[in-house]
Amino acid sequence: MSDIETGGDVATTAKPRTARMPSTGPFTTARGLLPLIVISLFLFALPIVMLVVGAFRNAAPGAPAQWSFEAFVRTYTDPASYTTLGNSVILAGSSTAIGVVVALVLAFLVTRTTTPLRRLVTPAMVLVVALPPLFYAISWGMLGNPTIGLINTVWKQLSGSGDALFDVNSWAGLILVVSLKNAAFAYLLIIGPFRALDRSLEEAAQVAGAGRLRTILGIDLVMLAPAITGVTILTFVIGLEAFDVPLFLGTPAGIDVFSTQIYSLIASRSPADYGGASAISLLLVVVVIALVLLQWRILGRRRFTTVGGKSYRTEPWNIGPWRWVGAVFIGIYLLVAIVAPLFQLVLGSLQPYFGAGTVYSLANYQKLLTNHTTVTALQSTFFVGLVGGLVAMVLALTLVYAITHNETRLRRLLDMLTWLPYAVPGVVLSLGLAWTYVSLPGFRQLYGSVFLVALALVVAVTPIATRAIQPAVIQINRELEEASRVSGAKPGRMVLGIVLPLIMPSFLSGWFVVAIVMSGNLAIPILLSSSTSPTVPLLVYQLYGQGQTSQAAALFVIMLVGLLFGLAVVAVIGRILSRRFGRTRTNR
Amino acid sequence: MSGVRIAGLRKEYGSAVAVQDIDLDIAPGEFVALLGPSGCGKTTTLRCLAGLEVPTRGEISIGEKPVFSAEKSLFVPPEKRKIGMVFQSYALWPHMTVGANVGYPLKLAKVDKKTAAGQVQDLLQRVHLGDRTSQMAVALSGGQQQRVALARAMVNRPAVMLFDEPLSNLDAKLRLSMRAQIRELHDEFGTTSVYVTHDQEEAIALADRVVVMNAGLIEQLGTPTQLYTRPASAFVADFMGFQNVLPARVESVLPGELVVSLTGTPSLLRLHDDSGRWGPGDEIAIAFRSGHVRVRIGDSTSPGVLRGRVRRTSYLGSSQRVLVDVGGVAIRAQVDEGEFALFGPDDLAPGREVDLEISADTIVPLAAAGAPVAASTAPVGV
Repeated sequence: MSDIETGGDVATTAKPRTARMPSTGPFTTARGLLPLIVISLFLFALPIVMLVVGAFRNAAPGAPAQWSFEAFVRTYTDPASYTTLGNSVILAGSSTAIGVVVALVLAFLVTRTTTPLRRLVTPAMVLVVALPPLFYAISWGMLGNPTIGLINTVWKQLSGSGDALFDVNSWAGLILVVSLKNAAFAYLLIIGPFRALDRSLEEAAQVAGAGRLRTILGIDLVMLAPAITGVTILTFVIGLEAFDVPLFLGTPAGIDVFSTQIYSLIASRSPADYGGASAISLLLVVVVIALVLLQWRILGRRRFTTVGGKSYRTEPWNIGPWRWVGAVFIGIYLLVAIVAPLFQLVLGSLQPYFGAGTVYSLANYQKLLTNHTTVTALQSTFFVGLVGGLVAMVLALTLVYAITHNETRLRRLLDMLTWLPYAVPGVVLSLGLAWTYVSLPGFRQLYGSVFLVALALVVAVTPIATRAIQPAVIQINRELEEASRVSGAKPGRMVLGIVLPLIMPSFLSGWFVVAIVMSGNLAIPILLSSSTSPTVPLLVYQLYGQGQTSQAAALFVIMLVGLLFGLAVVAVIGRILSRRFGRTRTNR
Repeated sequence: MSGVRIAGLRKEYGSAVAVQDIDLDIAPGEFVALLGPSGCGKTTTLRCLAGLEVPTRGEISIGEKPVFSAEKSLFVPPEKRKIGMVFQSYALWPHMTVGANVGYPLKLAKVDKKTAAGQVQDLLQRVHLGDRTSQMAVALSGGQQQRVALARAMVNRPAVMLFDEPLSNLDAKLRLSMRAQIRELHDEFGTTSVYVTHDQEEAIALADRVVVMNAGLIEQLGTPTQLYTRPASAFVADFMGFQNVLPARVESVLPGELVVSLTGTPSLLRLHDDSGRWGPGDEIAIAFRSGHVRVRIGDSTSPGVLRGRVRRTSYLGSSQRVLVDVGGVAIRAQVDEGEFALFGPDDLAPGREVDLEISADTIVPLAAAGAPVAASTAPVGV
């Protein structure tokens, strides 16, 4: 019993004045959660508050101003605002409709039939979701160029016609390209429920005399209806928030959607109309939050979680000659979503200028890699991706750990806060963050620096990062942690020694995903970066805007290769970790 | 060696009270079992002892050292309490080998590697897993995993060992051998042990003293023999396997004896009692085991014999359960294998008349269910 002679100084002895409830861990009590709540309010809620404040001021962020309804009245009485709203709804609606139908057809082909190529679909979809929207903006901008794009040059050669087949800078092009990514997104969300469908219900319908097709339409689709509705809303929200593709493809055609309108109010007005941009942002925020709440109601609190069910092994449906139709469908999707854009991007990057016949060289790469600005941009982008990504994952881990270990109602508040950035489109978040950081002394000096861009990107990816780490944290049996405490580990030591090793695979893959999203993001740096320290996406946009399409393509390829290299490193680390466990496991 | 002292312990979760008010002194080297149905507060009490929960009120000390005091806002975290704990789910860390799991407390205590390796090996040998040191912990069977968990909990020679239903995930046969192992290590290391279980047989077999808990309070505290033979309440009697707990009325008080009538019947029973708690006319309850009821055929007229009719029987192999209706009261009796020969083929058929003999020293008088004990000590004038 004399073992605890140090008890006096290690015990949390509080003075009567501040007598507070002791706790078993750092986050279990309301008080323990308070610092995280404050940080989350600052990071996630303040930008939106500042957006509201900004809409009612008559001057730029940081400048002295009066309260005013002027921006509000002006924006909401301007018919152009409603044209923009209409455009956004058309784009989001049509790309969602196409995307969800494509996703359903592909999910059906993959889970239920013997269609050739079906095993390629899921990995391809992961790739499409992982590739930054900017990739589609630039590669399709090149691919569908009416005069020198690959599609039209090939068409002209084949048909002998002098007219272009397709101009991507149009409604059709815009909808097509946004649909490609929406289809992948919808597919990854719907494939889980599709697989988890209870086959015995299907069999019951067939025994009752329903044909195969009738079973699919009458049983499967009806049972999947809530999931499909939820996915549709989610995809619609993503369509509303689209920024990169409308900026590259819509703006030249004179099609403005919400996000590009917000950007142009700031970038192409002199002086920038911050009030108007904030006012119109609020409308978008309200619409998106309403849709997200609707989606939560429909999907329940499951949100992103794909329903995990028993894996039934039933005979896939042999759809006869239709499987060749299915294979062609899959083939076309793979072609337009991955192969053609990637090919065009690499091909274009090798031309001295875009459309320069059949002369190919690495000159663009040499130029870029010896240029100080681009090298700096590459460095800061990898810094943002790696360090910012790590910060985002550590923040997400802390938040998720706190939310799962807290025993008070405050944890719900924290959970809601971490979701806020998700409900706010990138450009709007960027604007809100600009308002916030410019208004705060200490942060104002950082404005335009890569650190502030990294911080803003951390805010933007927190919902993704938390969702990547949450399932792993929830799965840890609480007794594993308690056993560690009883064995003599302080809370911090317990997290490092027990929790972190157990979630390491999820942590690494989450880090990688977050790094990709952060380094490929254009909406945040476009408003927060200065021209002296751009990140790669911003530089790509600028080069593309100046007509330096080939250089823009080359720069983007360099970044993709860098990310690919990062993926390889993560994969090797993962392999080493699992091999180490594997060896000791087989060492019986 | 160190004991444990719990005083006025209370734990609330919001408006729910898990532990109402617990006082418990555990002597150094003692093995105490906390026994009760699920939700009785036994696990919460154990977790408060471990420092995994912060109590709402009360004081806890381990050895002479206070580890929790609500009044002084004192809370020693679990890692400073020098305890070992065995969990229901074994709680072995899946990313570590058996040796690393057992060695973890030593590593945290900064014991040098060589000494630690020796201690780990010593403990693993004691639990017969000396050859499994380099295997991954989760590759072992359930029983082996729990032995690793036991070794891990004891490796740093904790002053107090805590067990949270450690055997409930194991099959019956394994449970018996693990039980023996746990008690063996307790005796050998001279630790103080607190053991939570809902299995009365386990508690009786393992513990020096058993604490029966119900609804966040201690119902009874005593040696296994006391609990088994003299339960203090209807709840404990029921929990300790008394098949018959029946309402009764005290008819007369003799020196060292009570004569009671089964409520609703004229049948009289005699039972030993020298507590002096009861007076004539008191409504009480009586408890006795079915194994102590002897079934006889024929017209016995001796006092203390109840006459009734067989309602139902069920054959259990080594014995036969007989449910007998005595004036509307159902009494559970048991005929052992050795007595089967006393009965003819139809003697125990439903509807047959039988006599039940219950020896006076196997009947336990209890306060009537729902009535506080104090009420029956008040003089009742008849």
